[in-house]
Amino acid sequence: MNSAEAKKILIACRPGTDDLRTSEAVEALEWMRRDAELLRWWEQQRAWHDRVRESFAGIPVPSGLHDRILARAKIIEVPWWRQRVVWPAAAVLVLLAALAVLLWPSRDEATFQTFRSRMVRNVLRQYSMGIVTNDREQIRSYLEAQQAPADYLLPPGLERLPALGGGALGWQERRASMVCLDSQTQGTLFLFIVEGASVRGAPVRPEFAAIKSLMTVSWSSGGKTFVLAGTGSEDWLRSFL
Amino acid sequence: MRGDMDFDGLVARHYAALYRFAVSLCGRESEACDLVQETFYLLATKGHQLEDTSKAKSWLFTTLYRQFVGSRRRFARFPHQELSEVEDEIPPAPVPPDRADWETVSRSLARVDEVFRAPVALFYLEDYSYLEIAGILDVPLGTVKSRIARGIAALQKLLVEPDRAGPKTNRE
Repeated sequence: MNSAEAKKILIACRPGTDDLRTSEAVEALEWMRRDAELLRWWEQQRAWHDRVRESFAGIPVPSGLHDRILARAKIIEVPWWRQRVVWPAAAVLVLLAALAVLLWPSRDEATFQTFRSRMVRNVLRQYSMGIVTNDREQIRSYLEAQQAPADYLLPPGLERLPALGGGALGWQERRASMVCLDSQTQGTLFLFIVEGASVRGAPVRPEFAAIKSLMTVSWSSGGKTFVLAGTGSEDWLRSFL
Repeated sequence: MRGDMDFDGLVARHYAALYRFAVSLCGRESEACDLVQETFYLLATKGHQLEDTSKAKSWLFTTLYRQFVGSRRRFARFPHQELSEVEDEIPPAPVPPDRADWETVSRSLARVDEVFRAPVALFYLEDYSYLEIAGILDVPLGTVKSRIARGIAALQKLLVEPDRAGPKTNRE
């Protein structure tokens, strides 16, 4: 050990921390006691370290950043167990749903347009997935257990995307399936599947429509009606079909 | 993310420190804000993969750093830096006391090679040990010590001699 070596070690040591308890730091400190010039250098270093730590701690943080982070988190799917308001909100939704059933005859609402609009509105609100998993088979099993369509056949473009989870949603007196997929470019893709017989006027060939802030494409196949929704363009959605 | 993790609480506790780390790395407020928001977005969407919630803070810093590195397309492998290289970089004169404010430090830090910037920022921003910094940056312990020493030496030299060019790493 010499003064130059001691400096090399001590320059990376924060005063008052465990940095100075390593064997090499202890040896450097021992050496310093025999070198007045090194001791002066160390005292200057300590003062400089403290001031720089203070300056890092004082870096101003933009006002509004905290709120922007939370606002962005609110528009993504949040697992139900993380939502503190999930049970009161669920109770309110159940009440509203019951009122809706009483006030509006379901037969008049069983159109494809209503189904599509209701499903999109559903995901634009803060919704929950009944199962969160990347395993497609688990999602199918879950949907089957919920008596929602589970024997669906997806286009190749959707088959290759990683699954995120799914849920069963109420539609008239039946259940609709919701499968969430990771688009890998523009967030989550939402695929809604319902038995074709439960919606009137569903398109057979792909039909694109912007519903609120989401672009959708809908089609029917194998006795089922599909609605795919996401934040991208029409061409972007078409690439998954 | 595990069910017992409080997302809002994690944001409240760590967003400021993450922002300070981000701005230390990239030097620009807008880019730093993007990095922080993207990091928390990843926590919200993929945080369920985090088994141990007590490690959320380290996970956030690691994730932010990886995004920064990814954004810079820095996929080169960095060799171990020997401490012997520090010797020539320690300034002979002490850094004047009036050159420790953030504005002055950040100007010089921005000229220090990115490889040294991250460990130096973590060294000063948080009370992370060398081992924890090594974990966050995913580099060996010896490399972290070496990079901190070289980074601080380089920073001090730039503060003493503002016209001097910043140090560069020796890449394999």
